[in-house]
Amino acid sequence: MKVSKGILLLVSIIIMMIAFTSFGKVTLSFWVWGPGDLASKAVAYYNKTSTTTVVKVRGIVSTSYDAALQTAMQGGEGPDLMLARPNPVTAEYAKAGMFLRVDNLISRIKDFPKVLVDSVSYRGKLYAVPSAIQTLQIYYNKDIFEEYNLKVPHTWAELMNIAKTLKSHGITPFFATGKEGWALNIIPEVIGATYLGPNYIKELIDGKKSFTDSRFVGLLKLINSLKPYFQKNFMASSYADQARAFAFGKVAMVFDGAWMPIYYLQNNPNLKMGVFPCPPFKEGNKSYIYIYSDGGIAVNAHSKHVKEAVDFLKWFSSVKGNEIWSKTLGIIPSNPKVKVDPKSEPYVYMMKELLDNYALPYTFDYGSPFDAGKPSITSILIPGLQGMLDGQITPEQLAQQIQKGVQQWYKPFQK
Amino acid sequence: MWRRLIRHRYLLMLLPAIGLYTLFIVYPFGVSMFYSLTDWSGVGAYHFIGFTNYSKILFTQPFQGIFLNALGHNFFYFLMSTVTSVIFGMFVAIVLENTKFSKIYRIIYFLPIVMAIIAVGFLWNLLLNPNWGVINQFLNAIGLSTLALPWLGSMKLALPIIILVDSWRSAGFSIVVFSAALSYIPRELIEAAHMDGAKRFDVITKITLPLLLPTFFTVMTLNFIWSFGVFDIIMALESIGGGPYYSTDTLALFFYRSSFGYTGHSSMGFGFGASIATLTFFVILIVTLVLLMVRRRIESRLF
Repeated sequence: MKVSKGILLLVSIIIMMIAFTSFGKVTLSFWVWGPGDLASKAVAYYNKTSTTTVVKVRGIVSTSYDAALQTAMQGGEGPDLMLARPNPVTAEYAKAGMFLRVDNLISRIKDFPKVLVDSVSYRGKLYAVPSAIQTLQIYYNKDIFEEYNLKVPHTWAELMNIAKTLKSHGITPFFATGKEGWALNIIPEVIGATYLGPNYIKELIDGKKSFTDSRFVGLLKLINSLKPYFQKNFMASSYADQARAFAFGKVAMVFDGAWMPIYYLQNNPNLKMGVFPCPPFKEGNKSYIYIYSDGGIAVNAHSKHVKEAVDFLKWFSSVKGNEIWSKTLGIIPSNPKVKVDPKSEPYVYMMKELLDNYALPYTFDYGSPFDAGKPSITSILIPGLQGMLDGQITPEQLAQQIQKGVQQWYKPFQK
Repeated sequence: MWRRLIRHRYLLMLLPAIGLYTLFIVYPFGVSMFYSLTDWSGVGAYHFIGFTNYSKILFTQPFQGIFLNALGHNFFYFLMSTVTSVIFGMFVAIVLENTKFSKIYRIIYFLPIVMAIIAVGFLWNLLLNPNWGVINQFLNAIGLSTLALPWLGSMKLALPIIILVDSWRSAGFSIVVFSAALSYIPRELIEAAHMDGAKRFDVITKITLPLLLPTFFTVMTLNFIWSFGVFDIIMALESIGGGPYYSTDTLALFFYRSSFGYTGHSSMGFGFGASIATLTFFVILIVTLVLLMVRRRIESRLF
């Protein structure tokens, strides 16, 4: 009797010890937009090294992410960690006390560039660690260019010649995602960065110029002029169509963002890509690329594991953690101290070069001061571009719609 | 007191249903109407602003234009789907009435309703893809490439195409309902008509159709409710923006887009969205009452 009692006690102690160690690790939920496969891979490195925490990633379709997150957070069921869209979205959550203030907890924040930090701050305090800086540029298929003896253009006229040459040989020069407005909006951002230039954009932001000027209308007319060089039936093409078409060599050039090359290569590992900014309209003028903060990683202020979540952010903001994150996702690292290796990450290196040399210091479309109120510029320009390319409205009418809409709340326009 | 309770015990039996109805329908509805009078963004605190949201939607641009455009599309959706789904379904049911294998056909026509609507949207997105979809590839192959249009990308064609896809799915419901209604028409009536020398066409127009009228109104009312709330098929085929350029926008899409935002659109807030939902309710209420009046008039004239 005594022996069996002793064995029972021993067994129960062993069971409790096992239970304690396997329950000892805290599980953090981490919501991201997109498929989440790459984020999971990156986070696995942290899980391996952490003795206290396991981070589980959940990917949500990007177009539904904001709605799903808002519903969960409002209902008190939000995740511990999440990707946060840049302002004005982060500011809303910060104002409601749903995001944890982090600049007083993470010292490495002082290394991050101001434009990224500002995009996830509210009233001067930081509420997320910037996770990505996105650049928009033109990607081209190197094999197609080689086949027709084409070189990276240095003026807009050269780019148009390239397009004409390609078209005459039956190759689609550009792709347009007529059905998916947000991706279509990349085209004015890419071209406008060079065509409008920082001086004009600054004057626009200060209210000294307006969208109905011939300069901005000229940008819209330029986009219209590209119609003959888009693929057939472009009005019904989606962003997924563009990814497939470019990956498999069905189109020579696309207007796309820094987040894409890794997905192109997943589709077709043999794809050889190059990038260039929109070339200037006069020989010798400067090119620019549109850059914007793609938000950051925020901690749920009502999380039950705030300490572990902040620890994860500390790892993420360190050079080592940030490098693992950006290398796995194939994006430009948000911590500028992280070095990008041209051999192992040729495409990220290419885009970082563009970022360092051609970054437009202002934004005028997505993420710009004109996007902060309602109606925002994107809510008018995105459907308006579709209407303009379909021939329903003229560039002048679209420019007027933007001016009238934004003027309702944008103070510099109300003088 | 007890006697009264037992005599009206049916009221007690209704209590659970009333309770559930109040909790899940009346209460959220009331709360929604309350929020429509505030500036609630959906996250955090709110302030009472009276009818500001309503006046913004009804009287300022661009919202007035978007609202009326969406309302018009809902009406168009209702009218076109009545033809392509309800009337078409009635026609097929009449044709199938005494056909061999009619039961099997009815099952085949009903199957698409069982499919999840998102799956239907995904499937038809692939079929309608402008360059790689089966439909356009087929048209190109048989030499009709001028007809290989950007179906979901054309402002004129997108909404009719969406309604046709929806009818592909929902006609089966009409067919099954009308087939059931047809089986209730007494055979003696039709035999008597034949004996009096009536042709098939006369039988259909003078006996079958009038007797199907109540069913027709019922199915049309269901179609009306569906058309004014339609959201998922359009979201699956065109995304929440109601593109291209608002040509497929409806009230439900406008509501969802305003409440939750969308890639490249920040949301207008739940308060604003709630006012769109409330306006939609009143539109549906008014049109339903009108439909009921019309139905009563027509039925009193016929019976």
